[in-house]
Amino acid sequence: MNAPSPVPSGVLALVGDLAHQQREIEQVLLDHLLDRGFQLVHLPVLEYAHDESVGGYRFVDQAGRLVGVRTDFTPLAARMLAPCLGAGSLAVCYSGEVIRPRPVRLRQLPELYQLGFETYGLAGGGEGALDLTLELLALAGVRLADCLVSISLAGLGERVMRRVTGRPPVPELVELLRARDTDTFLELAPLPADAAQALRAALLGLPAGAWAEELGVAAEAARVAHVQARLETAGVVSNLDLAPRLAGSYYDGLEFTVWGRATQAVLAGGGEYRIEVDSGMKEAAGGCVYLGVALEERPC
Amino acid sequence: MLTVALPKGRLLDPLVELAGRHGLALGEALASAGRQLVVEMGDLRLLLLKDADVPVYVEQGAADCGIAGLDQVLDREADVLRLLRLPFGACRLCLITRQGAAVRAQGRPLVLASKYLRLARLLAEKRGLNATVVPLSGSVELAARLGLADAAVDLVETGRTLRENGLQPVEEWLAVSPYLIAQRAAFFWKGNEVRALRRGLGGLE
Repeated sequence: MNAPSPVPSGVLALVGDLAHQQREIEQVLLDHLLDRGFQLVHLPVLEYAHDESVGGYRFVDQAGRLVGVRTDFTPLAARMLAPCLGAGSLAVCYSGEVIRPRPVRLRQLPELYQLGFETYGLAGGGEGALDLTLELLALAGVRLADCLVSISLAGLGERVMRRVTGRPPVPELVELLRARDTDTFLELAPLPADAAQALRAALLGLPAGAWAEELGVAAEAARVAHVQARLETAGVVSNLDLAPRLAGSYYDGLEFTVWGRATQAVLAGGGEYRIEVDSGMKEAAGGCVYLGVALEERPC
Repeated sequence: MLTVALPKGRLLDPLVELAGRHGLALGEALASAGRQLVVEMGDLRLLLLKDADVPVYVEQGAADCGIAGLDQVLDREADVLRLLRLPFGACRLCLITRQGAAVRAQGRPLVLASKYLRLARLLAEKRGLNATVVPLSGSVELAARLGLADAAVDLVETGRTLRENGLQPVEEWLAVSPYLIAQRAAFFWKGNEVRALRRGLGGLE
């Protein structure tokens, strides 16, 4: 039979050993989370696309309602689980694919196999989520000494911009910060010499001591420095990333991205956020491992 | 070892000159390399690439850093860091028409000719223009002169070629300069080497 390619271009089908390997590691990681008291949840691959939270493929069901394919687990889990949370707390774990119209991260496939966890109303916050994510990566066989953890605080870049320019952040300037294009930024938003130098140092990844005070984010930098010191003790390299993420992130506190040295790609990510429940806002945190990339990162 | 993608085109000579002024002897290494496309120079591995390919090599991690025009970076939608704007090769991406002609398309989308398929479309959208882009790979200005398109979108340096061909830039759409670009992961992993290269191109810290 002369069949066309069985999958759309850019997605991956695992066959034989690779499929077994992924299944085994997935089970090891899920068992670890179950042992830690997390409850397994199976989240639907389809959800109603009633707002901007579903940013991927959309189509219409038989009743004419807009349906979306899941692009991310965290907001989906929050929407599904918030109604049954009440005043209590919950810790859940999950695994499965998310499908995105195009990769959102460097060298990612549009379809990504994720394994992750979320906690609602529990202590630990973003730091706890980071620790657990690194545990999962280590269990998957990734050498943590070959990882780099990039830590940020949601909105940090925007706060810096408000402080140095005295105006609310505008998308064009946010994009320049993300690209670390200080030259064009300073052309569009001229700053006093000290502030310009501090901004340049921040975007060049120099230690926060050189710029945090001048940019008015010393307290935030101190919080990140505390996390970095803990990571250093564990032999994990980290940095503070000032540049804001792309719009649409739901994290509103500490957030992290774990990069692999061999793949030069993102292995895992997570952070802290809040969800709305009947009794008000509830603290939440989570992390997820991109299983396919993590497997690729493992030493031979 | 830092892998740096260099453009073989018009940016190479001024780049070599700039680097030489800051103590980075790219010229000697490239001269002794003959027709080789990969040249080792101390802790640097230099790749000589077609200008438009530099952002692709960098974004995908085949090179840690590179030198590329903003036009190429944006047209390729390359998610790379732009760490230093270089002080040469500045030009403008302009909307170009025949001299004396207005940019007008009655009752149909405006037809633009450009080498920059995505960037021209994006910039037209930003201006609220309903436009289709005809992709061309060279002598784009002629498309406007000969009526293949209502207007062209192309780089203008001095404007002399346009004048000699009966054309004019009617709007500047983007200021274009070459940049030192870096791959996001490489910037995290090789921060010191990347910053040293940036200093070697005159960047201040």
